[in-house]
Amino acid sequence: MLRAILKTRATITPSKTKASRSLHPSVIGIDLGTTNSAVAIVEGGEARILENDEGGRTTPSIVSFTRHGENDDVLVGLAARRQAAINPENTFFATKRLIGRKFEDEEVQRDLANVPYKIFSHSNGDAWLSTTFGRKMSPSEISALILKKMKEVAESNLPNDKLPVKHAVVTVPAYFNDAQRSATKNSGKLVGLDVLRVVNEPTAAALAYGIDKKQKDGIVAVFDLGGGTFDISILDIEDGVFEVRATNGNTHLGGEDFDILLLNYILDTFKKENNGLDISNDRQAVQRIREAAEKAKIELSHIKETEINIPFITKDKHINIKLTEDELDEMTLHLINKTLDPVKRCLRDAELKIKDIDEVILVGGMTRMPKIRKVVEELFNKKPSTAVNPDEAVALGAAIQGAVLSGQIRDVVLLDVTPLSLGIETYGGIFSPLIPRNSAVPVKKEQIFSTAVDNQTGVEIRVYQGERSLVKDNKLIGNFKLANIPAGPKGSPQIAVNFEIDADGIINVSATDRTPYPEDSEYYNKPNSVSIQVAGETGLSEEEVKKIIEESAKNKERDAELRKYYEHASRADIICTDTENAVLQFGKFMESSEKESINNKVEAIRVKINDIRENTTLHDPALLNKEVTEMQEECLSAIRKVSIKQQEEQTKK
Amino acid sequence: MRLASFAVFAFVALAFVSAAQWSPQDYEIFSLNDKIKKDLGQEYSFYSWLGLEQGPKATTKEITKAYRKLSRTLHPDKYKGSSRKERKHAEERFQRLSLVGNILRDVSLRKRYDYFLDKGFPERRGTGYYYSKFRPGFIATVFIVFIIIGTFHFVGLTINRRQDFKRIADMKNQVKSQAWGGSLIAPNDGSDRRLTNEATGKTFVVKNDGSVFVVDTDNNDELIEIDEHDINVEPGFKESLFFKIPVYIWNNTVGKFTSLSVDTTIVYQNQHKKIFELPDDDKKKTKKKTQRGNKIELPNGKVVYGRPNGTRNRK
Repeated sequence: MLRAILKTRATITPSKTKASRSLHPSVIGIDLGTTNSAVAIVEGGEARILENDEGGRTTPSIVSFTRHGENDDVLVGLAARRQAAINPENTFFATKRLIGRKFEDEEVQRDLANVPYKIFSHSNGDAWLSTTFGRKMSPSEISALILKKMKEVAESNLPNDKLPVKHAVVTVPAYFNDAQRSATKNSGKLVGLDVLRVVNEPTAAALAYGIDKKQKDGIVAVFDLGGGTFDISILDIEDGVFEVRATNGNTHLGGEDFDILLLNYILDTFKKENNGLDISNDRQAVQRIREAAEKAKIELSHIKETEINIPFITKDKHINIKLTEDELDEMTLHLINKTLDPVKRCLRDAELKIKDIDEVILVGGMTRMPKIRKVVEELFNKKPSTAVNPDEAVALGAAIQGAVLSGQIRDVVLLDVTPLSLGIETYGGIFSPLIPRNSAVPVKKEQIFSTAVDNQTGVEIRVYQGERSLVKDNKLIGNFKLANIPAGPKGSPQIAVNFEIDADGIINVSATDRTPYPEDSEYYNKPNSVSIQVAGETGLSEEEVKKIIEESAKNKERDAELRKYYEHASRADIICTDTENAVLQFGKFMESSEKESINNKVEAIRVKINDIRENTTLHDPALLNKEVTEMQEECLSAIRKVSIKQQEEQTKK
Repeated sequence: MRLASFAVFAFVALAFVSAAQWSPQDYEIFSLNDKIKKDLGQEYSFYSWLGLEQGPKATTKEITKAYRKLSRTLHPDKYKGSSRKERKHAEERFQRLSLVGNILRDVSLRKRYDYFLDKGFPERRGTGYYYSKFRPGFIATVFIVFIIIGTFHFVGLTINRRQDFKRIADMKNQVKSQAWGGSLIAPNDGSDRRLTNEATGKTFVVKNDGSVFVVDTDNNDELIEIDEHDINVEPGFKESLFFKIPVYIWNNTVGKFTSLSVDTTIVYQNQHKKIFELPDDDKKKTKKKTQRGNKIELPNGKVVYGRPNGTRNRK
């Protein structure tokens, strides 16, 4: 039986894969995290993380802006992080906590006091961001810049025949709602990246864990506590089928909350020690403390006690605080305990007992904290698995899902669920669910609507997502209006409205009317066109998207030009290194004048390479190439002389 | 008779109630069942789609295994390289598959499905689902309407008769009290009294024994007795539409050309009638079958039955 399967796979795979590959040459997997992002790809059936220019396997999800005349300098990743302390108001971090949210949301209001950058309410009520020089953008645009950076990281790692990268699978917290998912998917569109699928982070981690490992079949709980969000998913893995049984979480609980807590603790301690000196309004100082707090938190995962040292935090004052692991545990216990309820609810929804869980996987940087590991172990009565890297599993899983979509991996399928119930408002503001949470996606439900009074021609449907019994406590997804309903007695029109959740967890609503128009209607004999309009839509408007894409295209030209310079610089750099090596190897046989001349040329070229890399002077590539060729020729002729000399010496002997 | 019609009513009502008791989940099962049959073929059940030959005997574990196996080939992820149309179809099919998975793996939903699978699914008609046997076709609708109209007619007929009875009795008493000078006791002289209503010009004759007659001026001043007991307050089956309509149809079709026509004669005997043709026993009320008297329809729609000719001539 097994052999038969292998045989068919062997015969089918090559031709099919070829066809699919032409569709999606390479699909990258991006873990778009709150604090860090990672990118991976599947090659030869194995997923691997792609490293950034600095050799990092993850890239900080930080974007900063500085204004130079007309243009803004945009830095993403480590570079943005490095300048955060001197430019805190224009350095955007943890913006994933704002994506797809309204300014008035409780979570956004809470963040207002905790971030150095400005958050404001866009005309449609969404939370938007603004720099000190008035550049306004949505959190989606920040995500777009990070996605673009991750795409570049991938491109710099891939051979030319796989470029350019056009398709990606991007991960989101499992407990993200429709607005947050749509906003994330939109981000890809802004930078010309086709997001084939938005996949849930814990599900992706489970994919990375369970791929190609038949002995790992069983029920797996993924405990994912990242920088900004907490997710718990329970999956059933069987023979390549990853079926999510239930999922739960909190989209506003993560490492950031721990940092904020520690930050406030340090500020309070400093205030106490310095006769009530308050530095919480000094944004630079706060940014430095924030970084120190995060560092101390990470250190305490490995050592018992650490010191927080920040010299000259203000004028002649320094911060010097000792912090032990136990103190941190005690301080953050209430945050850790917030994970317990979702876990219990998830187990209940999956109709499972703790003892049914075969394996617990930890994902997200925060799960490195010993106290959290202990709590999880006590909760599940089981030592968590160390089989996956908490920082990398999600990106690897996303890449695997990308390979499934491109047809590279054929015997794996992901059956994911929708985390929140989808329903409509019924009389009196009651939420009546249509698609319950934890339904497998894609899913479609049809509901028949009719009119309440005679000759009514419009019906309004308000769609919500959430678990509360009153709509006002749930998230409004959209306000759909059915128009052009043929006039008739109340209750006679039959309008079928389809509520659909696609595999991305994104909601679509469509309507069809079953009643034909009456003879005296102006629509008589016309195809029935009950139209559906979305009002109060969240996210970016079509116009805004268009504008951003245009801008991005404009930058693309500039980026392409810059890339040309960088490529020449890199080539020159490689040749310089080769030349230096040659001089080291054969230098002792060369004339000292020759040697000196070559070394001078190398030095001169190196200066120009640095100029290009640091963006100070963009030297003409043609001139640079000419210099490089000259240097190469000089070096080669010197080496030729050396070899002739050696041959002569040999013949003399 | 009335009991029987109530039973019919109760049956019809119960049939409607059982239809209305289907839950939204049941409707979902029906609609899903229809869609799967339309997509794959009439012979398919949820079980056979999953390849479970044992049908409802399959265990949840077997269902889960089969569901996953099928998902692996039907999941839309496997159709990313296909045409748009194929992708759409794959997505719809998987949407159905996941609903099937939900139903068969949920104990109570599966019970409902198994029940319908065993007892048969109702069919979609117009806007809802009905069992074929409960669905009123043309004949059944006519029948139900016939029962309803027949019952209403019969109840109405009875009420009308009673009201007529009462009205005539009242009128008689009124005429009597006027004729007898405000008293309901007959005058001692034993005379008959004559009374004319000036408004209508009608003349009544009140006999000393209390019987009241109207003078038929159009017909040679003949006296017609007014007797409320001429009205049958308890109409029989033969007067109901249950009998009349079928018999009318029968008599005008088959009965007309054969000798099988049904007798529609209604026999009613006024039990309070004083029988004059027996002078030796003239005050005694007898049970005697009399011929039905002439039916007279008064201008106000009332129907009174005249005495049979023989009786009248003897007064």
